[in-house]
Amino acid sequence: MNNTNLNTIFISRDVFSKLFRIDNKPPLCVVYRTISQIVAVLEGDSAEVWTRIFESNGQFDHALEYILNHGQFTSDPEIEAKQILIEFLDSLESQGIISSVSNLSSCSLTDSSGFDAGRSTERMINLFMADNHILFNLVIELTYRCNEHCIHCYCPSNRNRQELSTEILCELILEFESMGGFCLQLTGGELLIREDIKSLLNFLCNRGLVITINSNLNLLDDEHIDLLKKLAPRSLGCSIYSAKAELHDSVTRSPGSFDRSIRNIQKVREAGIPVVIKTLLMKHTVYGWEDVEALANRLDCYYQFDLNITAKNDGNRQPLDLRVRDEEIIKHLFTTRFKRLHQNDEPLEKSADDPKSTPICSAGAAGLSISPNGEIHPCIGLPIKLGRYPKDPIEKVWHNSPFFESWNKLRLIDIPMCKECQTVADCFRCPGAWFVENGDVMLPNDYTCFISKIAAKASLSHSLC
Amino acid sequence: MKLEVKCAGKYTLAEPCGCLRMGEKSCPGTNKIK
Repeated sequence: MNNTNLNTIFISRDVFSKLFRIDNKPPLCVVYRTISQIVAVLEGDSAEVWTRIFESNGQFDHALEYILNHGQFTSDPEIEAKQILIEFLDSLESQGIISSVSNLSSCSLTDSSGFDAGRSTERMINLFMADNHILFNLVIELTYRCNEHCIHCYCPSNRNRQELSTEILCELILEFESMGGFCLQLTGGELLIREDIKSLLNFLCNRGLVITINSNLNLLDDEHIDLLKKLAPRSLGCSIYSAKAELHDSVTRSPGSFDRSIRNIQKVREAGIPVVIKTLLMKHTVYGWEDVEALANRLDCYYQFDLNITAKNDGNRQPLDLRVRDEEIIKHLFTTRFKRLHQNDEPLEKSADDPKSTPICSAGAAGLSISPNGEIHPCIGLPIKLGRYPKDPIEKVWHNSPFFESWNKLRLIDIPMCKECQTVADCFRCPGAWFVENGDVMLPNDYTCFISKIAAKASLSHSLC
Repeated sequence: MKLEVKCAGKYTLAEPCGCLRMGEKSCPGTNKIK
C-alpha cells in the first residue's frame, strides 16, 4: 500500500468488530470476517486505531489523529504517522481483515487448509471474556414450534408455549449488545416458522453482531436469502440425517423435507453464506455418515456429526433409545473423521495436562441461553433456570446469580465417577445432558462413559499404528 | 508506535459458540445438534 491510496479502504460487510475496554487493562478488539472465516484480536493502540478506521467506514482521519496524539516521532510527525498507518494497513490486509478490492467471494468450506491449528485466537477471546465476566455469546431459542417432527428432538413435547414478542426480543438483543455481546446464535424449533422472522432478521442486519443460525431451511424464500446476505452470518447450520431422502424424511416425519433442505442449501451457498450440514447420528442412520459427508462436500458445505442424543428438555427419555451403541462404527468414526479433525485439518482442543482439575464445563463462562418464553439458562444444553426475561434483565442475572460462582468452582475431580476414571482425557461430557437425563449435573450418564472408552481405545490404537 | 494484529487465523465452523474455557476438545452442549 502506498500514500496515493491512503484515502479510504474497503471494509467488507462481512467484517464485524467490537472494542472492549476493561479498567486497568489495554483495550482489546475482536474482529470477525465471516465469509472468509477470519478471526483476529488487536490490543492497545492497534485496537484503538483499527476501531477508528472501522467506525468511520474505512476513512483515516480519526486514526491518524489518534496516532499523532499518542505516538512519539523523531522528525515529521505527519509523515511518520502516515507511515505507521500504512504498515498497519498492510498487516490488516495480509491477515485478510481488509481488502484492497471490494471482493466478497465466499471461500470453499471443504478446503481445510489454513485453519488456526490451536484455535489460539478464539481461545484467547473466550478466556478474556470469561476472565472478565463479559457476556460475549448469547443463544436465543426463538420458538419450539417446528414444521418438522423429528423423532429424536430434545425440544419439549409441548411446543405451543408462550414466545417472546418481536419488541421484547429486540430489547433483549440491545441489552446483550450493551453488555459486550458480540456473538448471537438463533435457533428453534424452526425459527423461520415465526411470523415476525423477517422483521427480526432485518433488525439484526444493522446491529453488527456475528450471527449463527440453525434452520432446516424448508420455509426459506428469496426474501430470507436477501436478508441472510445482508446479515453475513458466521454460519447457517442445517441438519441432514441421511443422504437418502426417504431415510431423512423418516427422521423428520415430514415428506419432502430432504429435497426442500438440499434445494435451499444450494441457494444459500450460491449466495455465499457458509453452511454447516449437521448430522445427529442415530442407531439406524449412522452407517450412512460418510455418504452425508460426501454430500456436504459436493454441496461445498462444512460437515459436522454428533453422537450426543439427549433426553428432551422436559426430561422425556424417549430419544435415548436412538443412541448408537455399535462400538465398531463409533470406533470407525473416531479413527477416520474425528481423527482427521483432531490431528490434521482442524486440530481440536487437547485436554489439559490434568483434566480432573479442569472445570466441569464452561456453561455460563461467557454466554447465556434464552428459551422461547424468556427463561434464562447458562447454556442451551443446561436448562437450569436463572431467571426469566423481561421480568429479570439479563444484566441483573449475569451479575447477581449465585450460579456462576458455584459452577466455576466445580471440577471433574468433584464427581465421584470421574475421580477414578482412566479415560477422562477422552471424555465428551455434557453435564446438561446428565441433568436432563438423570436430574443431576454431577451424575454422568452411561453413554458418556461408553463413548469415552471407545474414544480412548481409538486414540491408543491409532498412535500404535 | 508499532501497530500490529496480535493474533489472527481461520476459524472452524465446528465451534459456533467458541466454548473453549476448560481446555476441552469441543463442547457437546453448546454444539447441540438437533
